Amino acid sequence: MSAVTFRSLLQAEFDRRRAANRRYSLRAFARSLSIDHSALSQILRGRRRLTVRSVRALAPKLALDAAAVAEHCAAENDAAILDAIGRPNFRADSRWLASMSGIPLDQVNVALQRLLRKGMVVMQSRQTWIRRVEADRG
Amino acid sequence: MGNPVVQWQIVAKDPDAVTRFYSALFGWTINAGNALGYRAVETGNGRGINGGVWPSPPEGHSLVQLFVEVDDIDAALAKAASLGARVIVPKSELPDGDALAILLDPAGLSFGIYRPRP
Repeated sequence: MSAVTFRSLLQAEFDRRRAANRRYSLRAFARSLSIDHSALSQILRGRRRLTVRSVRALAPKLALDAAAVAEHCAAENDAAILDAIGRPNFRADSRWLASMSGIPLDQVNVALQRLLRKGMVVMQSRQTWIRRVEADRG
Repeated sequence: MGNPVVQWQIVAKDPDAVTRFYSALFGWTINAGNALGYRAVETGNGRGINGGVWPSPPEGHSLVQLFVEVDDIDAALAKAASLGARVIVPKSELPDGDALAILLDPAGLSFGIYRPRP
């Protein structure tokens, strides 16, 4: 999986355009991506999560191929699941994860299995799922 | 006790389509009322074994896995590794108390080892 996040790709593209034209604005970048500029601003600042739908919508404008789009979609889902598992009110329940993340149940389970394979989540007991960072500490 | 094959699992890109197909063909019933939303399949007969359907990632392909019951997942994983298997999903304790792990055998076929809830 690519270590480059979709957010960083967006930022790099914005930086590239600004380097070519110092007056190039975030609004102009948002217009070129057909996205609301405040939403883009929140995405770039990490205040808004990218969804699979938004990655698929924006990817063609960054000239990403299908394999790269699939990787970034998976990475965004993985990040959302990891975030949900870290919440204090976490429940070891895929439907709860789907509800918290807005990700369809089957995609939640695909992400969970991917995270288990990569060792980023451990199902330690029936109600205790821990993220790798926490597992390492234990 | 031996190590019986206790479950089959279809891993499919479109789990709903697969479950619809087999339900229509064989009258199998599907129960996904569990914490993982796992589509448990009951074949409706005391003979044979039941199974389930799990989603595959978009880049994956559909396949069938068999699950073999063991007393001790850790011991079975260690033995499988010594015989050339590779662990792809490490030991995981599921919300219902069952535990499993998924491996690739030396021929590259994936299979599961399974320990029912104590």
